[in-house]
Parts: sequence; structure tokens; C-alpha cells
Amino acid sequence: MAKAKTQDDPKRFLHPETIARISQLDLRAKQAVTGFISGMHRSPFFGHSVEFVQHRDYTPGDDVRHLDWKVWSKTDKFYIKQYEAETNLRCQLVVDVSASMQYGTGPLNKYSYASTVAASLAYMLLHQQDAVGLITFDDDVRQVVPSRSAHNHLDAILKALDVSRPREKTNIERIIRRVAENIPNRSMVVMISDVFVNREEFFRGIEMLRHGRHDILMFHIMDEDELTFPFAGTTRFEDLEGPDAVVCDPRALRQGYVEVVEEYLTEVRRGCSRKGIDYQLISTKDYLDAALSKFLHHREAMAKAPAKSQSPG
Amino acid sequence: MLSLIFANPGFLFIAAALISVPIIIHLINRMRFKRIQWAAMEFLLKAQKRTRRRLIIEQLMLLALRCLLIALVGLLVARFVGCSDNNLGKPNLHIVILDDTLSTQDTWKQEGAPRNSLDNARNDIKKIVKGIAQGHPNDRLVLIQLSKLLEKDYQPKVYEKLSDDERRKAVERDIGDIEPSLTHVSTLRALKLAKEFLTKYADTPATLHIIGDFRHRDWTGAEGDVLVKELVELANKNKDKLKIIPADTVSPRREIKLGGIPASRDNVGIIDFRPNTRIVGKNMPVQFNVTIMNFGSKQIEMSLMARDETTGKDMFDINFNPHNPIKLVPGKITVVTFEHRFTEVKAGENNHAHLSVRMQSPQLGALENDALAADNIRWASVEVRERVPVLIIDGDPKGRDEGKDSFFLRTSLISVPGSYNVVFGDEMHPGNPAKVLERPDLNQYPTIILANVRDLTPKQLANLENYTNDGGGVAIFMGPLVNAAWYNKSFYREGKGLFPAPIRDNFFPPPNESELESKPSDSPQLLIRDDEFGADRDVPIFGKMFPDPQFRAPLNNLPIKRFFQVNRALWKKVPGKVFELATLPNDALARNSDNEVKELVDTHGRAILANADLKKYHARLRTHLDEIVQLVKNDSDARAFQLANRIQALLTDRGSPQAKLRDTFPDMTEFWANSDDKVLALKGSLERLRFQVNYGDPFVLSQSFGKGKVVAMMSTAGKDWNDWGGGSAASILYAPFIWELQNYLSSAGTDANLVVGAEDVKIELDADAMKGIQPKIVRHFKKAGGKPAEDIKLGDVFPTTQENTLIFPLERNVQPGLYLSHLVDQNAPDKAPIATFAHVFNVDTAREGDLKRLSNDEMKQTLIEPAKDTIRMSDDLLVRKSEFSESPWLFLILLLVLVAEQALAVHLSFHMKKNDDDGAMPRARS
Repeated sequence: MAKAKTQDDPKRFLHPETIARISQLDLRAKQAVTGFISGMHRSPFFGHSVEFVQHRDYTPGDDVRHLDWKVWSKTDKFYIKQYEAETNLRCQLVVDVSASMQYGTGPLNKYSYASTVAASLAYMLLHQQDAVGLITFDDDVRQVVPSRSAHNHLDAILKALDVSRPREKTNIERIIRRVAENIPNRSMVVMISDVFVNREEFFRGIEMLRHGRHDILMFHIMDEDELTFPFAGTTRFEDLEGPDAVVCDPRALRQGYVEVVEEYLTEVRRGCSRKGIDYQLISTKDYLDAALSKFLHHREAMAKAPAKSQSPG
Repeated sequence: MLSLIFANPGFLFIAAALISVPIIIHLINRMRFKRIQWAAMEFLLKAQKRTRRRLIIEQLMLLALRCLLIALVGLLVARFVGCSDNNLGKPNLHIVILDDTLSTQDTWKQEGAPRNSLDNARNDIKKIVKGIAQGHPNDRLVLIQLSKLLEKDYQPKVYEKLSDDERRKAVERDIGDIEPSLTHVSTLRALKLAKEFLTKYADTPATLHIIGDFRHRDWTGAEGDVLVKELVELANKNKDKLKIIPADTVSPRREIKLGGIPASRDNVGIIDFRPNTRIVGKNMPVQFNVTIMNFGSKQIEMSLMARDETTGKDMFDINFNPHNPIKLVPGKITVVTFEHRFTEVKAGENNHAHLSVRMQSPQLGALENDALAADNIRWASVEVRERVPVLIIDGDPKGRDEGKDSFFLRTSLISVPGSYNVVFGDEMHPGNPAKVLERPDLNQYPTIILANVRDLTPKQLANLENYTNDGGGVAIFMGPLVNAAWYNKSFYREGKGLFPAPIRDNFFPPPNESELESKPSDSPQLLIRDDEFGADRDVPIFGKMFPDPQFRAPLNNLPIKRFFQVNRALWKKVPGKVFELATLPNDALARNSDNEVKELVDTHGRAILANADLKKYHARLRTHLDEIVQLVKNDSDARAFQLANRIQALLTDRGSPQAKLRDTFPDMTEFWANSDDKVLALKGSLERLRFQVNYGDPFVLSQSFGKGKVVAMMSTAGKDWNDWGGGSAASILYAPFIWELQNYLSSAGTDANLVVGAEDVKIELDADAMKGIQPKIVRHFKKAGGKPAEDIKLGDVFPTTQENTLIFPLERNVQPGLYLSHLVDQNAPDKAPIATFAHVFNVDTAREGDLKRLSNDEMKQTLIEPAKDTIRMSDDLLVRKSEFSESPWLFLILLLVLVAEQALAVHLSFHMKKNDDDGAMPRARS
């Protein structure tokens, strides 16, 4: 991640500071995703062909099974056959916009980072013609954008993210219940949150989602400061979501704090593991492609799993 | 109380205030904080809850450590002395003995500027004062200045509470004002005063600083040995509470470990300058002697210059002997003489001629490579009269008749044209010539001659003794009128009186026996006692008369018919005070010594004659010994002095000058130079026997009495008992004898040439003689310096009466030069003074001029080693009470606390860890 990027490397735009300078969220998503899919992975997404629409130029990373060998044999050029097909993926992005997400010391705070991740995924999915929906929440579900695969659906999603300003206290169990109610079909649920919630309630909510046979991917967003607690000097820490305040010397507390956070992360990670949730802790200091890479790995695994399960049937 | 426990109690309060600083900082930090809107409050609260107790304990520990750290630093700075009984209530006593004598003018150049050893001494004392002010504010400092010991009722200054800035500055001002004096004072006197302080503050721990130049002259020899002994005794007696720190102030500073003799600067100085008479007649030649010592290690060439201080003009016409430029051999004394005639007699006090001599470079500039300038000039005074009065008191009323005592004395004195004015006692007091001795103006006579005086009244005797004590000269001639009993009882007074020896009750031969017969002889009838004065000193009087012993031939014919014998059995001859100048030959029979002769011939003589190696001398030795043996045979009537002469002939026989006779008459002095034991034994025995048999009765004796001199001749001055005055071959020596006697006695008064500050000077007068007047002394100082001497009037001195004597105590003078004391009547102050007394004061070059320093080895052996625990040389001039603040334990504790504080602080992360900047701080891992 930290290795230097050359001028030609498309990933250079994935640097969070660079992305932060892009004011428009959609553009940020485009930049992130375009750079990503054209440089790193072959796309795992392909739908069942129904009607041939057109050829397009082969791009490295495309599945060679979709090459039109006939055209190649005639023209000696690689073309990909494209079909109009309905997507077989519904993805529901669940983004935490509570007040705790407001914290951040880097170029992006947790909310911005989560929004960027959500926008990027939406853009990528829509680009793959998958259906993407968005649910934002704080102490309740704030915005619900139903899943659609239309290209212009991205605007709705971005708009929902944009207008959603973090506020109030997270109440996760109720929210996840509402989320579960808002996702009727089996979907892939990408949850982006700092999980500063009651873990029992959180896992109970997750349990409900799992009952709906949703495939859940958890992006645990935390600010780097929240992991390392790098403060010095007497400091008054005021709760973003409540009246609590602590005056302390952060250096004296650091060790204890880090231990508590480790315990917390272990708890979350183990809980997710037990529930069969794919879990990824992401620091706001990390590059955005960490989230996208994780997502793609998950999608690939998901794609392989139905294939295996479907092959006998 | 705190000041007893802490050397710097002021800092204690500051430290106490500072202890609260960590707490205040802590509280301020609690009040001044950053605000952060924080999301992960849950973890923070949990972490805080979990670590709260540990954190509080650790932080309290850190706070306590920091407070302790400040407290320890406070103890260190406040100089915790401790609470033991030894410390409480016992401030130290510092006694500084400062040597500010003349030698501390020792000047050198440092960084281009002249600097002397007293400058260093001042710095040393300032360091001590600073040390006390900073660390021992309750200590006392006593400053004993050697030169001040000369002041009457001197009380050294005691300085206390030196931590007070004003007091300290006052002390430093006092110290800054100290300048080297021109005096010499023994450190021993200061030590005695220091002992008084040690006794006064007996319970107080004390430090004795001896700050001076530690010259070899001061710390060795009889005086130095006493000083060292006293110091060591003092040190050992007060081992528990006294430290003695000698501090050498001469540059280069003494480093005792190096051994050897520390380098010192060369110096030459005039150690004496005086005329050979106190009173001189107009146009009479007076000889001045200038004694110069080169104390250094290099030969110096210099020129002397005399100056008449009355006119302020240099006397270029003076011919010095040896003449200028004069070479001064290192380590040797050079005596330069010059003669001067005063051709006019001035009225009033100006008849006291005021002269100085000074040393200059051959180019008449300042003397180079000379450490002390003050000893390069010296003053002298001589009283100039139209004629020199000599007082003769003749016991015989007919003494002035021809052939009598006074006749010969006067004739001899007036034979020097226009020089002496002979005054007879019986002219002033007919019938009772001795009454003249009751007059107050005896000091106008350089010499008083008593001839054939029966006795004196106690008052006359006391006056005469005072006169002599003050520098007068007395000649005493015996005669038939002399009352031997009074002479012995009052005049000799067991050695305390004026007369130099006890005499037998009657003269010899007694009146009922005939006079001694004249015995022409080939040997002197009067033996000049060269042996009493050694080879390098002339016999007084006779030494001047007989510059060469061969001129003594006329003494072979000196008939002494009668004389008073000295009772040798009762004679307590004080060495250095009483001398036999001339002795009659031993007139006893030589055969009385036959046993001694027999023994030396039998033992040593025979052994030598048996020694074949000395065969060459056997014949001549045998001849000599035979002649000696002949003299002591039973039938011999040879006299003892003849035996002595015979022995002398053997000891000085140089043999024949002709080579062919050399075998018969070998050079016996070569024989005596032989190192053979027997030869040496024989020589020793012969010399002893010669000395034993040679001298008979003392004839001319001298004695120092106070500053004066006394000469006694055991026979008459006239022809009554001897033919010296006339009628013998020796008569030609009579007048020179009287002149030289007069010169010798009048030179006594020149001891009024005194050393500055050395002793009390007082003028004593007979109260009866002052009846009818109210005497006082008006003092004047003649300040010399290149122009006519300036007259500075000093205070008047009034007398105190003691046993019918008026005593005028004169102040001790510390400025060299001429001081005149006019005796005047208080009721008639405008009248001419009744008498004038002149005193010349000069620096004590003899004692102060030698700048050679005490060797390190001597110092170690005599001073340091015998009192090793108490006396020590140290750069650290301040011996302090041992303090807890100096204890290594305090520093160790301080270090441990500091380490613990740092460790805890790091542990608590109150300090940035090294890797914090590298982002390697602990991080929660997913």
C-alpha cells in the first residue's frame, strides 16, 4: 500500500489524500473504481447471456471465455461479446452515519471514508449492471434507496449519502431489523460502520440478517487515532454521542486503551466469524482499494460458492 | 536554629517553596487541557476504569519522587550540616595571621603589571571571606596583621555574620586597604595573640591561616625554631578542633610535593649605615660605614650615592671605598666606607646632620633585578659640634697636675687640634666632681671618663647607667682611690652593672708591697686578645692602633707597676657582651706546668720520635721539646708566658729559608700540617697548654651596656701605676690609645640608628634635674625625598614619673628617617630646647632582605610531618565543617531518586519515547 506509485500507475488516484481533493463523490467513486478494475483484477462478474448486444475491445482482466474467437480468427483482434442480461446480484449497502462516524483526523473522517467506500462499490456494481441499494442509519434508518441496476441509480445513491449527515446515537439492533425488513430478497449486504455499539445488540441484528439468508460483508471503519491513541498532554475527551467527558493524560492511558480496543476488535472479529460474516477492519489511514479489494475477494468467493452448489443441480 | 543546622538556611525556604512546584504544575496541567471530540469513549472509559488505581498510585509516586528530588536538591543547596551536638551552636573560628612585613613587598611582574606577595595574600583572605560568607555565615574571622602588633594596645578585628553583604564588603574594603609595611615583626608574636583567641573561644572548632611568604630566615634559626616548635605544639595540643593552613603567597606558588626550594627573587639591601661616632667636631673626619648584603644568587654591580637630606642635594664629592661601581658578591656582605668632614655647625636642630645613602644602577638609574626597593636606601644622623665635649671625672682632686690621670687624658685629647673640648667634673662641681653625673644633659657627651673615682652615689650611678644605656660611652680607669667593695657590689653588680668584671679587694701588689719591677722583654708586656674576636674581626681600640701585629713592638716595654686584678673565680663573663681586649702576660712560674709538659712529651712526643716516616723532623722537634722541658725544670725561674712563647715558636717555626740548611732546620709548619694522629694530638695539647699559660690578668676590658659601651682599664690613666703615659717605649701609643678609646666609646651612640617599629623608644631623665620646669618632648619627623627634608611636627610627649625618673615614651615609628625629640619647658615653649635627642629609623634589611624561601623539605619535616593531621598545605583555604551535603551518600540518594523518577516518568509515558516519532506506538490489531 505504502509503496511509491509511478506517474502511469492508475492506482495513484487511490491515495486517500488525492481522493479527498476530489470534491464530487461520484467522481471520486469513478476514479477509484476505474483505476481499480482496469488494473488489478479480472472481473468476476458475468451474467447469463440472453441477447447479444455488441462487441467491445478486450481489456486485460476480462475473462477469456467471453472472447469472440470467430472475430479473432477473422480480424486477429480480441473482442468481447456483450449481452444484455439482468444481474444476478443485489447488493445492499448499509452505511453508518451516526455521530461517532464524524470523527477523523486524517483527510477523510470515518463518515467520508465510509461514504467513499459505499459510492465506489455502488459505482462498480452499477457498472457491472448489478443492483445496488443503500440504507443509511444512525439511531434509526435515515435513508433507504432501493436496489436498482440502472446506470442513473448511482446519482440517487450518492445523493442519499450526501444528504445524510452523521448525527445522534446508533441503535444497531433496531436498525439492522429495519434493514432486514427493507431487503426482501436474498442479497449481498455490505455493512460499513465503526461498530461503536452494543455488541450483543449488533450481533443479534446480524443474526436477523443471516436469517434472511443475506450474504453479509462487514467493513469495520476505524480512525487510526482510535487504534493507536496517539495523544499527548492533558486532554479532555468529549463523547461525540453523549454527555460523557474524560480529562486525562492520554499517554498514561494509552496502553490500557490499546488493550481495551484490542479486546473489542477481537470480540467483533470473533462475533463476525461465528456468524459467518466476512469481516474487514479498515483504518481511515488505509487506501481505499483495501476495501474494494476485500469486496472483490468476497464476491469471487461468493461466485464460486453458488457455482459449486449449483453444479450438481 | 536553622542556621546552625544549615549552612545556607535561606536556600532551605526556597527549596521548601519549590517542593510545591510539581504539585502546582500538576494542578495547572489539570486546568489547562485540550479538547477532543471523541467517538471511542467507551474504550477510554473502560481503560480509565481499569487503570485508575494503578495510575493514581504511580502518579502519586512520581509526584512524591519529584518532591523528594527537590527536597534533596534543597538540602544540597542549603548545605545541611547535620544536627549533631558538635555542630549545633558552634560556628567555626577562623584566625588569619597576615604577614605584611617588609619582605611582602617582594615585587614581580605579572601580565605586565607589578604585583607583590601581599597582593596574593589579599586575594587569599578574600577567598576565605567569600567562603565564609557563602557557606559558613556564623563563622568568625579574626585578622591579625603582623605590622599592627607594633601598635600599642592592638586588638585584632573580629568579623562576624559575613553573609551580610554590607559586612562582607566592609571586610573586603579593610583587606583591600592593607599594604606591605616597612617593619619586621615575628610571626611568633601573632601566634601568641592567636592562642589568646583560641583560649577565648575554647569550644569552637578553629582554623588558623598563616598567610605569608614563608622565608627561610623567618622559619629557621633560633627564632624560627621557636616559632615552629610553638606552632607544632599548638597543633598537637588542639588536634581535635584546630586546623592550621599555611598559605605561601610568593609567586610561583609553593608546591610542597615537588620538594626542593621554591624559586625566590634576588635582592640586595643596605643592612647598616652609620657614622663611627655619635657626635663629631667641626672639620673632624667622621667615617661612615655602609654595610650592603647581596641576598641573591648573582653578582650585582651598583653605585652608591649619598645625599645631604637637610639640603636635599646629592653629595657627588663623596669618595666611596671601594669606589663606584661596586660589585656585590652573592651571599656576601660588602662594607663600603666613606669619610666626610662637616665644615660648618648650624644653629638649632640643624646641627644634627641628616644623611642618606642609596643604591643605584651603575648608570645611576633604578637598581635592576631587585625585589625590594625599600631597603636600597638608608638614613643616618650625626651631631656636629664646634668641638666634641668629653667629660672627665677624676677622683683625685689633684688629678689635673702633671703626671696625673687627667693631665694625660686631657693632653692626649687636645692633641687633636680644635676637636675635643675636655670638660672636668670638678670645674662644674668643685670638690665633688661626680655630682656632674646628676645633670640632665649628659647625652651631650659622647664619652665620659671616670679616673680613679672612689665610688658614686646611687643616683649618680643610676644616671650614668641610663646615659650608657641610651648610647653613651664610659671609660673607667682604676687608681689607688678606688673602693673595690663598692665597685664589686654596685658597679659590677654580678654582671648587671656598668663595670665589666669583679675585682679583688685590693690592688696588686698591695700598698704594703713594692711595685712590680720593669722587666724588659723580647715579648709584649700587653697581650692583645685577637683570639677573643676571631680572624675576621678587629680587636676594638687595639685593632685600629695596630693594623699590623708587628707594630706592637713598643708594647715589649710597657712597665705596669700596679693594677687591680680581676677576680676570675667570681667573674661571670657573658659571651658576646664582655670582652678582654688586652691581657697582661702570665707572670706565674713556668715550672708550675711541668706535669702537663712531661705528659705531652712522654706520650705524644716520644711516639712521634719513634715514627720513622717523620724522621725528617725528629731532630728539630727534639730540640724544641728539650727547650720546653728546660723551662719547666725545678730550678727554672722562667715565667709561664715565656713557656707560651716557646710553644708558639715551635708551632710557627718555618725552618731555615736556605735550602742547604733545610735538613737541619726543616719547616715545622709542614710537620704540623701532617694528618698523623700523634702529630695532631701533640699539636692540640701544645695549643691548649699555650693558651693556658699565656694569659695572666685582664688589663683592658669592654662591655656592651644597653646601646652604650664601657671600657675599663685596670690601672691608672696617669703615671701613678704605669709608665704608659710617659717614660716608656710604649708611651708613643698612649695618645692613640686614648683617641681610639674615645672613638670606640662615642661610636656606641650610633646604635640610636634604630629599626622601624622594632622596639619601644623612650627617653628617661632624672626627675630632680628637671625641678622647676615642666618638661615635655616635642617631636619632629624629617621627611626626606629629593628636596630639603620636610619638617613634620608630630605629637607632644608628656612624661610619666617612675622612681624619680621621668619617662617619655615615644611612639613606635613605622616610617624610616630622622626623628628629632626636643626637650622643652612647657612654660616657655619658645625658648631653645633644653636638649635634643635624635633617632634614626631604618628598615630591618638584615631580617627582611633575604627572600630565600623555606625549602619544601624543611617545611614538610619541621612543620607538616610533626602535626600531620592538623597542619596541611592546601589550595582550599577554607577548612569547612564536614557537612551532610558533602556526603557521597546524599549524592547517591539524589542519583537514585533521579533515576527512579525518570524510570517512572518514562513508564508512565510522561516523556516522549524514542520511537514515538516513528509511528511505532502500540496499536490495536484486528
